[in-house]
Amino acid sequence: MAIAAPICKLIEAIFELAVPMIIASVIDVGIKSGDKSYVIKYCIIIGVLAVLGFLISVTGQFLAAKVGIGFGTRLRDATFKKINKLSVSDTDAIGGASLVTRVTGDVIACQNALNMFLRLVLRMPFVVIGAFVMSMIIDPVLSLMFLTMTVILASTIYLVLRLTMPRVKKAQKNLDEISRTTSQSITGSRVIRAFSKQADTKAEFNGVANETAKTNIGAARISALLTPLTFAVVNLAIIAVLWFGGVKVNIGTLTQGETVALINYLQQAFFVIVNIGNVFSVFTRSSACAARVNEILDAPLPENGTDTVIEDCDEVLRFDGVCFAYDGDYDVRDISFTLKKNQTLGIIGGTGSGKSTIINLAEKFYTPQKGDIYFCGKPLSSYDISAVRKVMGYVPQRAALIRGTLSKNLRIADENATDERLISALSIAQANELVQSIGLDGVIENDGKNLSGGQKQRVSIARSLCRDNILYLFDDVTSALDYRTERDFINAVKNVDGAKIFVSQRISAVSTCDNIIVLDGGKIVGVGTHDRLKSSCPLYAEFCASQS
Amino acid sequence: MKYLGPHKWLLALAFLCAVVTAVAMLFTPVIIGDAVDCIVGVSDVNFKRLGIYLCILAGLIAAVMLFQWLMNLLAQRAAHLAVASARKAGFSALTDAPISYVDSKSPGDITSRISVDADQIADGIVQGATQIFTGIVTIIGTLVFMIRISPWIALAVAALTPLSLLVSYFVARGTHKHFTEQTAVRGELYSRTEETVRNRNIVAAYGYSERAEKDFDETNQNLKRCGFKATFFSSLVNPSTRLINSLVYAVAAVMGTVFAIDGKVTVGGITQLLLYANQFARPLNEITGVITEFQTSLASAKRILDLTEVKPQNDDGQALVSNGNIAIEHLDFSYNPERPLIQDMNIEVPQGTLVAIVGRTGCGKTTLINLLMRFYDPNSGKILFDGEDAESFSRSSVRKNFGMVLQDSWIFKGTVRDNIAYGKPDATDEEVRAAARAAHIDGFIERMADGYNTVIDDGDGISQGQKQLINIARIMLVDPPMLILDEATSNIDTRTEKRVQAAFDRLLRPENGSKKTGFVVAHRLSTIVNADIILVMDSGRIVERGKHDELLKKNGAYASLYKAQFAPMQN
Repeated sequence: MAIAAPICKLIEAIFELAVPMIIASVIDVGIKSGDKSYVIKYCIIIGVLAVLGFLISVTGQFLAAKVGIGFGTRLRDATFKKINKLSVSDTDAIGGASLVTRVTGDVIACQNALNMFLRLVLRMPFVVIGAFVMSMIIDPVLSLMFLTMTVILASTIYLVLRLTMPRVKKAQKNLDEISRTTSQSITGSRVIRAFSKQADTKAEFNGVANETAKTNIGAARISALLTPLTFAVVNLAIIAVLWFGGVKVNIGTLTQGETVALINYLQQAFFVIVNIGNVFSVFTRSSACAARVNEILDAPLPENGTDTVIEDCDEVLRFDGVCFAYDGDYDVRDISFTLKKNQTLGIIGGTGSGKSTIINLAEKFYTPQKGDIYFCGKPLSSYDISAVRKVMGYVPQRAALIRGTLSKNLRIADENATDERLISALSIAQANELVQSIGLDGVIENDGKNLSGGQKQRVSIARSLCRDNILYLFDDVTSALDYRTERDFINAVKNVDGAKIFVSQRISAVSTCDNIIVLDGGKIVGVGTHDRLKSSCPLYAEFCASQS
Repeated sequence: MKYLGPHKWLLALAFLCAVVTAVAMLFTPVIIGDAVDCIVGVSDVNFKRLGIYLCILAGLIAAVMLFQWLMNLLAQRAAHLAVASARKAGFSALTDAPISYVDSKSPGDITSRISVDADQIADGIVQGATQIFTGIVTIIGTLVFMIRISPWIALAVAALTPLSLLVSYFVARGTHKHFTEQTAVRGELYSRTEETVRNRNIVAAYGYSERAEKDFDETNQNLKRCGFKATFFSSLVNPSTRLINSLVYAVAAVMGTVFAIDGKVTVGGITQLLLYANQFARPLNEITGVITEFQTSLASAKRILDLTEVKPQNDDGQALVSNGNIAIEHLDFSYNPERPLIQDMNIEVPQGTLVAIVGRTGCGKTTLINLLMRFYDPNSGKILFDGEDAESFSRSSVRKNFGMVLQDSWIFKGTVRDNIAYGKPDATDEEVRAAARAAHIDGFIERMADGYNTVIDDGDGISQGQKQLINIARIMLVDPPMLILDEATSNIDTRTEKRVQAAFDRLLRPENGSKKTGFVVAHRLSTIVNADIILVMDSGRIVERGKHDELLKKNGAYASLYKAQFAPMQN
């Protein structure tokens, strides 16, 4: 199909190029000899060519659409699947919003570019070269004029675009700035009003808006030259053809009809070349999009082990001198601890102390730069990570809900979980109230927008309890719950089989754990039970004091 | 289009240039045709006349160049100036709009109105208008010229050309349905992708990727289906109008040459006719294309115009210079008439009182703050400042009397210093430093690359907790007569919170000077034990009020909240 489409374009172009030749012969032969039937015959040929050209070009469009859309669909699919295969550390580095744009907007831009290429660009060389060849046939010397015009035209367009591009890019940046300023003033609407800063805010925005207008007008100053200049170049060429054509007709090496045909070819080529300008700017934009999609497709896959057998082992999780840095300086260093079967471990620390990092390392979202992590007696890196994740109940800090029903959200953990299992999980997560109000089939909007922060957290917790896990990772999952609900949850989850890690800023969430780690600036500054730490770890004591 | 109004002279000039350009462009085929007539055959070329025609042609080219350039310049200038004023008006309306408007709209929607939609005024409307205008002038002019050469051929061309309009109209109408469907499916695909990407850690942790891919694939195939239809049908416009044009061309050629044989037109005349026949269809097709674009642009432009028409919130009334006495009498308020929130609330807050408000999420704590700050107005009942109805004071002056720190802290793009000195731009460096010290953020700021001159943004680089501390420093610097702290320390770890709390205490109860009135909403009850009065709210009502010790003794709602927070864990 990808070959058939250009062939259609070639035939279409040939048909189009034949028309001026026919007209030339009609003028030179038909009119001169006064043969009306000759004229009508050839004009019918023009009509037939037009109909045939139409049919072929429709076929061409059909093929182009098929190829373009098919390409877009496959590219989108491949990009989406590749993103799912990448490690969380890689996707975090690119950023969520950017990933979404790549799968959606960028792929569409690539698809449109291919479509445009098949539909317009493929036509261009055929028409331009064809018109040139035809003019060569008519008159090799005057065709040089044609060549000169094409070169001048192309370089004019190139020059204008070259000069406009940076200004267009700057205008695009200005537009981003307008978006940024607007959304900033929306998020700050209360503070701005509280300080009565409306006038200052408007003045700042007006500056940005004026700047944008200035840049755009500046860009327009140059791009406004494009049409007049191209018009001038083509018509100067026509003047030249008319003059030198006149000379040649006078000495008899050219006919009047051929002169008309030459002018026609000039104009045909002109329309096509002017289109290149539009196509060119689309291509510049889409090449940036293609590069962004390629970055995803070319990204190396995360390293993964092969072991899928998880043995029953007394020691569930062990960190041995683990150091990790998101970039630059270590964010956590020298982390060592052991978590035994069915035991609970609390991790407490202030903001930025590295609590969540430990959870991310245990889930292998990130891989440590130094030190080793063992899961059920074997290095975490030796496993096929999906096998390990199947027995880990991970609950992130930010509740992650998808659009659908409550049960669909819970069954993310186990497609085949029974309704009873879901209800009991919700009950442990202290979400009975939610079951009563919306039921298992209750609708959950995108990102759980119809639920409160506390409700979202509880659904997220319940999900992890919908299947049996060897290890549960609760990453600050009670921050939006009030203390009573938090306590009820902690008491209820004690009866669930499996080792558990509770990460929190609150003493109340970790105080009953078998073992507690106190983190400060990425380092362990205290290990022990609640009672021991209260006397042995000053930071822990300070936390206790500040929270009572 | 009121934003084009101030630039109407620019636009009128642009239109004038358009007329000149179009007319000059129309004359070029005439001259070319006349020139061709000078080249009849061997030794039958009139070089003198040819030279004159070519000079006229050169003059026409120069005229087209100049006026087309001027037209583009003027139209673009008018367009971008109009966009800028529409943007400014939209932004100004947004800034002056009642908070309820901002709260009720999605931020993305408003942002795209001011950024992308406003651009449509330039891209679609002004450029569209000039194109349509030039098109109309060209069509009329072409018709006139063709009639001059041969009325019959002109009639035939004029009668046949609307066919191409009709065809492109039908194609466009057929395509519209597929495009609407495609847009909807694209939206669906976007939200599926966004959902999976946002929850990527859960997708990885629970092996959900295959199921997510199945859902994605379904939508993707759907998009393939309707995307193909939309692309294919819309791509029919060009070939089909080209077909019609070629047929018209053929008819014009037949008639022209037959007439030429009969001696009614010259060969030059045919050349002109054929050039016109080509040129006649072009603006018509362009206009159909532009009109659809024009309609979408108008829809976009309307979105920003709607925004500019939002009624600003009034800021009338006398200036409030409060002594800090506040009373709330029979206050009723709800965001939605069907769901009453605050009902018959009565509170007396004498100067210097520290009021704490506690209760579960959604009980109306933040709403009360919204009413005190006059972000919203009560449905009935009154808030009194020093015995006078709050509505008799201007909103801005009421707000100036309060220092407010919210749970959602706000940082704008600018230096740390500017962020802290937001309420007092003329503060000295020493004052800014002192405020940062009081908020316990000075150490962090000193460690930043450029210290107080580091440019920060709402996005990255600093944590929620640090943002909140900067917001607190902002208030510390202004030292307002009254304070509102709505979960002001919720994102700060408890150790720092304790220190910030002490700073707030110093602000509220300075050693020299009188106590300040303050309202504190808190999750962590430990932060409010010192309050003069604690209001326990539930579903918009105050269910308990009193001091910490009294409320504990009562053993009611407060006591149970408090115990849940501090009772030892039992297994």
